[in-house]
Amino acid sequence: MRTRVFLSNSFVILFIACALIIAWSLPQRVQGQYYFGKNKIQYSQFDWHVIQTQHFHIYFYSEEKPLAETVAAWAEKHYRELERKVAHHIFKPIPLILYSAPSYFQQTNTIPYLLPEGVGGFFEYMKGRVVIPSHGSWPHLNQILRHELVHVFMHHKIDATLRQHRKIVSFSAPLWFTEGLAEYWSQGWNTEADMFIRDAVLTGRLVPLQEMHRIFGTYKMYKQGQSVVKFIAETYGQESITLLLENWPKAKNFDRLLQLTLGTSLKELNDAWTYTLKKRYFPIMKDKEPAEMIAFRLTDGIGINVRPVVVPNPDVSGDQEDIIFLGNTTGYSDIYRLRQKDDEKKPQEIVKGGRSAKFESFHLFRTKLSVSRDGLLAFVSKHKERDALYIWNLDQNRVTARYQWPELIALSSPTWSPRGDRLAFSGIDKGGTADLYVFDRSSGHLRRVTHDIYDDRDPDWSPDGDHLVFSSDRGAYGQEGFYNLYLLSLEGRAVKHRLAVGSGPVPNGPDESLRPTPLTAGKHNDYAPAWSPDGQHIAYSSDREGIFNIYITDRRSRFRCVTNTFGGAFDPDWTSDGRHIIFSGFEEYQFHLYRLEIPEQSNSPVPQTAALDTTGWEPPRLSTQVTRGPLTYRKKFTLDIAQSAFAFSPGWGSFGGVQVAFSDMLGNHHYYFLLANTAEASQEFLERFNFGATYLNLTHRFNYGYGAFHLANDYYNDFDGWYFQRDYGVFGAVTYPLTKFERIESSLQIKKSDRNYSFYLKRRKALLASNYISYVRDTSLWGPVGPLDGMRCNITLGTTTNITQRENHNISFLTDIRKYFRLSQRTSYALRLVGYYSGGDEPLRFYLGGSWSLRGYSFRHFLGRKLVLMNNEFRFPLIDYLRAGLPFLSFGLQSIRGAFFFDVGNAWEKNYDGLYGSFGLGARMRVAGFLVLRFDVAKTTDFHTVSHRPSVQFFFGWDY
Amino acid sequence: MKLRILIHPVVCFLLTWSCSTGRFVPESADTSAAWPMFRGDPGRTGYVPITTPIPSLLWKYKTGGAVVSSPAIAHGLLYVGSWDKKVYILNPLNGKRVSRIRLKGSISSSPTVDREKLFVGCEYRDNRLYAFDALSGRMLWKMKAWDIFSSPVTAGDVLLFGSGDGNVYAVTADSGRVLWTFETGAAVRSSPAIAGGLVYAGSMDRRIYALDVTTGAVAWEFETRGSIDSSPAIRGNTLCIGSADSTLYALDASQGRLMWSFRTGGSIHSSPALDDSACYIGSYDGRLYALDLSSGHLLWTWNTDSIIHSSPAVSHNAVFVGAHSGSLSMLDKRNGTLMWHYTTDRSISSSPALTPAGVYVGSKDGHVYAFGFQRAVR
Repeated sequence: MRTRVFLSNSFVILFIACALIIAWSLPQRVQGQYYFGKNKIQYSQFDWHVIQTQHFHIYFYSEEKPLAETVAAWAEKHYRELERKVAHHIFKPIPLILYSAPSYFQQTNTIPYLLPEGVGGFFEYMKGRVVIPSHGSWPHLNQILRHELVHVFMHHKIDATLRQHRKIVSFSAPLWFTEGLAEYWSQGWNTEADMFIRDAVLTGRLVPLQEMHRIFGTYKMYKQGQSVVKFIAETYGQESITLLLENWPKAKNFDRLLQLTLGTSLKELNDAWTYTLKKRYFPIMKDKEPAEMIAFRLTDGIGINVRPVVVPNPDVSGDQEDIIFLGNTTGYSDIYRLRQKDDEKKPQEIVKGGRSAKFESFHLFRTKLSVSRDGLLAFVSKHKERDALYIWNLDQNRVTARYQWPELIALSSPTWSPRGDRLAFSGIDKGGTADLYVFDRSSGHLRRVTHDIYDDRDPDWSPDGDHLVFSSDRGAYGQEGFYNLYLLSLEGRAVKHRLAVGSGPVPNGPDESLRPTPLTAGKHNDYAPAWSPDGQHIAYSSDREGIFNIYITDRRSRFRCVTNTFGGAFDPDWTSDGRHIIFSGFEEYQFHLYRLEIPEQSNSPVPQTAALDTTGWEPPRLSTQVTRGPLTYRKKFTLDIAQSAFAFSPGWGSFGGVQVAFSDMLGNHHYYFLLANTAEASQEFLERFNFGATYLNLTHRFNYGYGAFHLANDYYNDFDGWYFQRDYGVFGAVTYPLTKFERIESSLQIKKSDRNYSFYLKRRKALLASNYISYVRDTSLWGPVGPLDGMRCNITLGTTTNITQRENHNISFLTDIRKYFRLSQRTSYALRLVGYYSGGDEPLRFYLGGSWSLRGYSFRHFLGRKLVLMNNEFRFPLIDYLRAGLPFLSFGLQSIRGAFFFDVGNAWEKNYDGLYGSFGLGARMRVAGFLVLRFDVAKTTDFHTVSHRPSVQFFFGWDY
Repeated sequence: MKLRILIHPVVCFLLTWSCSTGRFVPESADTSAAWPMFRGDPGRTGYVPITTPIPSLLWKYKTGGAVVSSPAIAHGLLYVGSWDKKVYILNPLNGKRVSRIRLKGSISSSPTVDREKLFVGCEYRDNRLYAFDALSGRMLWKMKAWDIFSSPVTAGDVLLFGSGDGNVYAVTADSGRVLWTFETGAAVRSSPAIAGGLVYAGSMDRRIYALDVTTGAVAWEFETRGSIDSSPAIRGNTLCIGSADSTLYALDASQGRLMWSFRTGGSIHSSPALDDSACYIGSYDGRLYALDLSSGHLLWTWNTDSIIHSSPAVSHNAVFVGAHSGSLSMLDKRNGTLMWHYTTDRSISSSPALTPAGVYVGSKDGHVYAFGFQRAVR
């Protein structure tokens, strides 16, 4: 799954930087919307270089140089093809930043946000950067590269066409069209896309184009978009897509654009597209079955349940053995255990992922599990900088070993040897290639058994211990992204492959590769092979007939299909008696586990028809296309954002200002400048100048920033009334992430502060030094309008010292702890505990009241230097989707969630007068993807009486 | 008193203005030099029988939007449309603006000058075909069509053009009265060519149509495998036209029979240029092809490393072509050797106009460029 584009990184950082300058001098309020968050950790330091080709500047580090050269050659090829498709020439070099492994990619500072694991790459339009990672497969990387370049061309084409027509403002392309075009022009149409659309059509879940906002940003949106673009290209001609882009300035919206270009409206297009799909897919049901008709379903509920592995138990029949699998029904990816004999379809979580540094991510779709005969579960999880191989004792329910190797960044699909003394797995090295490794637990020796550019994955050990079977793209069609099965004998002399890249610095391992022999071949995909217990057959998932189903192949490469589903069947594993296969089936946009009793062989097995070849393929060469390089990377700052604003109010005066932000290409260094003025008369112009300059360094794990400022503004608070304050000084801030979920933050500010109280004719001048330190923890899992699971907390201690007077100016302690107790998949109980205290000559003041804190009371109803608050809220789904069809307008509302709440708190200055509470119910709805509207009805109480009339509050903001 | 003083200069101004809206032909204009329509002549050959030396930049004029329209030169003036919704009338000698006409839509269509009338079509949202006095800029008539990319052509008193509504229109040049329309299956962006009483036009419905100029009756039609926005070029009885199926087709102009075809490596949106013996065509594969006109055999190719949308112009000795990389190139017609080039700041989709004085072309950087010849020989 990929998310894309259009993220304004610099504005967010600038906001935070400005907050560093300004926030400490302003009265505090209970909002707490923005001071949590998980951490992006720069574990690794990269030695960056640049290759310049005719149309690209490719940024890479030295370990991935061979990969970078191949990417550069691919990029130039795609450029030529896309230039023709889009009829557009890009005049500036396109920056392309390459990472050789997913966990390196997640460290990138080209985007300020933490990248979800499903992001395969992105195009960032501020600097026009394409940022992509390798996942071990070079052809797949090529596809991702092309996908992002489609975005580049589309963005440039529309932007240039608008400017050339002198049009500044235009409508945005619907995301489904943008992503659909990128998918279609990078992949064409494949069995995976076919699977999703077929399922949507046959299960009645195809979302109409007019309602695509309902699946905004989802993988389903990508696939539907891809299908629609395919339909447009096939119906109206490939050139119609180019015409759509060229006609952009002429239309006010996308519907009008379609009418102008294709002569069809969005609704008409939807109707024609839907009809075509139905004609294509409905006949399939004549010959195919749903998985439940041919196998016994083992899991229930909503979500993804994949990669099952049987816990071997020869004492029971195959339909009684336990199954371990990966699932995400809670929203977190966890490892589950299903006891078949229980019959209740209620798997138990045995290892929880996504909540701690130890099990940061289980890589849901990328890796298999394996259970040894003595009950040891082997699995992979991200642990700090790289993946670790864990051994989990199923009886003791604990980790018994963890293995990591410095040269292997990503691991996947461990498989036990029959004796349980060795593990084979797939590993991605720093160069970005995925090869097979065998680890001997007793000796600690790691042996690299393949060493080339091909992606070798999902190994499985033969029962006799002599062979591995695995899936690889090393075949004749591998460069197009097709995988076939190969056998690897672990005996015999290893031979170095002619395409081995790098020196593969593997500890204690030879730089050689064993020679695999092909078991299957052809222009299709064969995945996740599993040996039968008797070692005579191999079950695997294959799309050789257009739909992923389970096949069984013997050692003579004869195969037969044992499932005939129309959804898709994956990840087979045998039960110990060899009579059943457990697999993951796709249907109704979910993956569930099934148990199949292997049918009697009614037909003779079909022989492999495509030639079993061992020639492989070679990546393109770059040498003639490099214009310069490799060059050492040098920081060059370019403008990210420049904004100005002006406001005037007859009563309050005027404000005008400008802010600019610069950063380097890799996003490691940022500069922010703020210039503003609040003068109400010309003689005040110099006195009321506001200036701020900030530098942020995000290169290392230890992020820091510093800057200087001069601020002069009028302020108001309920205690001091109006006053004019002029502050100038310097500040510094540091952040150290302990794990993805926890960090320490600290800041120091030294300023000269001059406060002039208008009403009291009093003046305060001081040299103030402020120190703040915070501990932040965030393991939250979010629903549509706020967190549903996990916890968040922020504990901050700060002091401000009056250096002139040598006394304490104020001291503040702030704690905000939030815990979310999951009650069911979509309901939870949310608890928030807040305590604020500030003392000293100029304490901070805190407000309480309103939709974000103590509901039922007005905004800022309570005020003081001390504050306590407890919020209790039961969160539940209310309306998933509501469609209103009015005569003149139809619209849809989705993800409306409800809440019952009970709040207690108070804020006071000196005299504590007890607690105040409120209780009520509310509704929240997400709008436009980022804004949450809140509606609460509450009654208030002082715990002696209850208000007669409820208070109604309508506001915005995420749930706490 | 004050009022009279005020009126007097106003009256003088009005009188002066009305006198000055007469003709704006520059004094030193070479009124014989003509490239009065897209591709230079009604057959859209793009060929001028002159020998052209190496040009040099004479001037460049900045408009407010991209210039994809191809200039027309007549009466000593240069006429060109821009995406800033204006038609510019420039002095081709020095690039000074003589006049400009504001319309309501972007102009991709190339103006056509026939006698003393200027015809130009406008895209959505204007959607009209306009007729102006070519020497004063005064509007004569306008008629509504749809999203016009096609450049008009005249056959006597009949004006023909294609429209985004899928029609080929025939109207009277004097008044714009519709004589007939012919409906194709999709937008007609191709600029019609005229020869032997027939008008030829390609359509985005993948077909080439040959219609009777007088009645609009179909003489023949030919189907390709891709949409057509390339304009046909006719020399003798050979009609050449490109298609988005990457193929250049040579047809018998009178019967529509396929004579030969040539497949390039990319779609063809450029219009061919024809001289006595060869056909020159640009392709989205980045190559300019020179083909034998009678057999379709490849004579030579030239590679730009960028797509070619612009249509080449040909002299006795050279081929001029623009590319999406922004370059205007001059090639030796004998072997495709690069003789000269100039790089603008953005893509060139406009097709060069060629006269003995120079070569003129628009660029998406918003400029109209003029490159002068020291001595162009007929």
